[in-house]
Amino acid sequence: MKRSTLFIRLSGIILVLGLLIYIPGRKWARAHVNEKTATTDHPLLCTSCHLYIQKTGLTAKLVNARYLSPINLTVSGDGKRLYVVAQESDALLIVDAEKNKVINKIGVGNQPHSVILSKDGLKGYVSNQWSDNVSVIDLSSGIVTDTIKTGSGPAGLALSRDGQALYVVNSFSSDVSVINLNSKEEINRITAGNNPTGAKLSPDGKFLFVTSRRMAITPYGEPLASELTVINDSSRRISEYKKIESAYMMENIAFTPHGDLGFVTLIRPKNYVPSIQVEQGWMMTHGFGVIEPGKDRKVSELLLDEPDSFYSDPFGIAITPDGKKAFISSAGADYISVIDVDSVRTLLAGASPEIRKLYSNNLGISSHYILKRIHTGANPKGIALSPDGKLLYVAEMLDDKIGVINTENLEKVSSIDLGGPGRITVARRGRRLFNNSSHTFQNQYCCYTCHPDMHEDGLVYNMSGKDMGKNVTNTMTLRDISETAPFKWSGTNPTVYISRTGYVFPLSLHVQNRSVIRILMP
Amino acid sequence: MKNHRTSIVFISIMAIGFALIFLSSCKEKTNREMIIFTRSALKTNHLNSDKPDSLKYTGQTQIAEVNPGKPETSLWVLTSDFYSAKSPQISYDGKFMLFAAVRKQNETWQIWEMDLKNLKSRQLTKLKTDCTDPAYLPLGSFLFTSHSATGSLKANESIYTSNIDGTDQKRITYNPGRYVASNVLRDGRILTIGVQEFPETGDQKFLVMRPDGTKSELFYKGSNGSELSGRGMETDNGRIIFIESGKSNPGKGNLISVSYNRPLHSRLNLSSEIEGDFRAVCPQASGKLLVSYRKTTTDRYALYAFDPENKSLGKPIYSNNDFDILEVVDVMKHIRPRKLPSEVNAVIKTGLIMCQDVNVEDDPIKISGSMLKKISKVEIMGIDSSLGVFKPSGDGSFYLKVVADKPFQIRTLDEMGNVIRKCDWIWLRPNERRGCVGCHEDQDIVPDNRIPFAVKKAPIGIPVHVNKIKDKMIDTE
Repeated sequence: MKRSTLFIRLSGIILVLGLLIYIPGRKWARAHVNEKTATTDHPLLCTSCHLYIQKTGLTAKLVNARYLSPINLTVSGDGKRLYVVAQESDALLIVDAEKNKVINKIGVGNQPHSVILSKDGLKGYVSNQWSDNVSVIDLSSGIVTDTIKTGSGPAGLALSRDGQALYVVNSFSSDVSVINLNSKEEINRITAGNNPTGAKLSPDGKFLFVTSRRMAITPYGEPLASELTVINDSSRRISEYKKIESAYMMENIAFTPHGDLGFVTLIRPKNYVPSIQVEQGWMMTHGFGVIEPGKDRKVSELLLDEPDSFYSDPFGIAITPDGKKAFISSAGADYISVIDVDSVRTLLAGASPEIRKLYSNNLGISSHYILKRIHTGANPKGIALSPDGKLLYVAEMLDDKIGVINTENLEKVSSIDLGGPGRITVARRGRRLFNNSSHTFQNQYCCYTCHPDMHEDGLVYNMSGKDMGKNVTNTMTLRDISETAPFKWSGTNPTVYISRTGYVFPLSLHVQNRSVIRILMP
Repeated sequence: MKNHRTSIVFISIMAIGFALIFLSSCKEKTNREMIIFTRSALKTNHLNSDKPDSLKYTGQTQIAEVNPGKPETSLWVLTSDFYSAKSPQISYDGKFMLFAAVRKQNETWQIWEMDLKNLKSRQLTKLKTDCTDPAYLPLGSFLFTSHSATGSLKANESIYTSNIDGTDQKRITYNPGRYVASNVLRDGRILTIGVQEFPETGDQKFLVMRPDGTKSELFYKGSNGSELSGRGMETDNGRIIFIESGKSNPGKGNLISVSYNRPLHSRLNLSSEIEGDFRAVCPQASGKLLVSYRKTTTDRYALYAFDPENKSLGKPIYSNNDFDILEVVDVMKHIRPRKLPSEVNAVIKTGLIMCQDVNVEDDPIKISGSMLKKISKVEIMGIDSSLGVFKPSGDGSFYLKVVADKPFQIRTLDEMGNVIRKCDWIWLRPNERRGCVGCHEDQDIVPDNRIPFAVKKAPIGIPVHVNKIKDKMIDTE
């Protein structure tokens, strides 16, 4: 047989075999993808699941990378060092602020959250959110000298007025651990609001203010409020649970140097309003609370948003030493909003409670106090000012960089590369998408807004289906969703997913017991 | 011998190929750094003489292009095959141009698309009425304006959308008014000049809506009697630039800039210090603006560069004593607008509208709540008659199911039935769900986070007094 004839025959056999496999194989693949994704239009891309979301093994090592993900930071008293919490690398990075260079990387616990320095600046304290402890670091040697046990999910940190006690905000157990820094032991546990995070001692040193991210538990339809926990620093007892109405996701708090005003970041959701449109802030508004720490501790809420532009997921907050400017990072919009503090004072002076309430639902009011919006790198989280207030450092979490902003001309002057992996993996790109609101109309919200930390925000939404007000739906966690098909890739609710009554089926139950779903189907 | 013949065949094929390429490129124009404009030999007296609705009466206009580097020698009339042509708009990839044109005098205006590489045009619309003001929508579709009747009223300009091949033409606006000079914002919404025509002619306003005609709302309005000319153009720094003339000085077209973020409260007159009037504007990638401007009414409108930072006019780019330049576009790539999802479902013949509190008025911060007139009832008005009167819920909310694609007006009434306030004509598209915070035009106010009482019950069917229609409507769904 001639070689060419043999080649043609072999090619033909391969082609026929290929077609025989391809046609039923493709059908099988389509059915498999439809089942796993609960959609019928997801592309037939085997790599989507069998390559990029692998968590273990050689494939996972090849396709993934370990990023730094700076979330919070603080500046040394002389302004020469930055201490940056690298959440995904479980490390504290020490950065030379003059040379814009990382000079040390200190391993800490699992998923570190915040860092503060001791009053003498010799020690650093890092909260390890998933290790339930605090790392004590000798900053001169860069060695972790102690690990102190805390409550569950330690996040925000603050020192007592005398510097002898460390307040650790336990975000999962919703309380505050008081640590004696001499004995390195927890001496008291104080109940805080729901999912607390940020903590700040008032400038007079009398009270510790602790923010909370979730609303206090309330029956559906009742007015919502989150709690700002106020703790007396001397007695280490609760002074007040201050209700912050219609707001949640209070991440961080800061005070003016004289202590006449406090600012706390917050989101004002519209979960009770039928979700029939996005335009004009019908889904989410983002802003800050202004605390007047007097006798009544009045709290007014103001928006960062504008009628046609939203600044989603406010996170970090800092106020200049002269008390003139406040900076808030909008993690979903990649912006820093600069606030003229005096204009806020003027606006609130003499404003009645009724007028203040109107302010909180007004998108135009921000034109009174917003000085500038400064574009940042991806996902700006924690921010910190240099001691002289001339530079603002921004933890650009999904860029592995620290942005540096001149607070006088309000321009970004440089960017410190923390040395993360240069390449952007599929998982990282997905995380950027998840955390960025540019994919929604006018940047009003991103996936993260309702699923903070890839979890859920604890709210029940008045989703509008065919009618209004009849499809009440709770937000569900996305944690480990890659293990629980269907994944809802298209973002729509497949028919089998929601019963006629609007009750939302747990994803895992859907997989485990299909017959139950069938019973509920119309 | 065989090799020799093969070589001859090969060389011949190559020669023919090169010849074809050479000949086909004869008519081909390079569009780099080109500016396209509309010019008219007819003297344009001032802005008011050329209201947007009189597009077809502006006389013979041509679309031409010029290289700003050598304006004297590079002028090229692009629409020499047409009697008249206007409203050029460049595709997002910078390769095509939509325009409105008439082939012969007394024919109707239709929409055409020109390939800017070979200057060949193809007709996209073939309606019996004039089709004007085309604009590209993202992902293979476009919008235009054409005449259509609304209820018992005479025909007016409505907005239509269509696939770029001219198929699937759909009307998307349904109120008794005119829509002209539309453009598409980067957020995916249509920005258009709307004028209410019934019962009397209202002021010109910039309105925005989604490309399916849903969520129509006010974007910008000037002082009473002010007039808008041409499309609103979006710049890279988040401003919308357009030409506006005030009632007090109708002959002077001002160059106005508003912020996209808060258009109703950010008006900036860029030309307040400049004598003369502006006729058209187009932003450039450099941040500068291309403008059509003349110093006095005896001059012709000529093409200039304008620096919005310094609010200063540069030297003329192109002028011709025989023509006015009426419109201008820059041939360049543009950012493709967002493709917005649509909730329109033609099978469902109604839409839903919910108002959270009828007592919320414009700028409630300035008006104390106690000073507001007590609203007792709400009336829904159709073109010819009232469609129903009802009491709002205890919290001021109401929830309606309205026949789709029919204009209606919402009026608030006091105890005696006197009208306290009425809104502009609105409509709902099939299956549209829409919300209002209250009775206001200002976009600053967001809803309070509470469940409106009205949505706890079934919606009120509108029209309420025509039971047959109502039943039919419910049956349909």
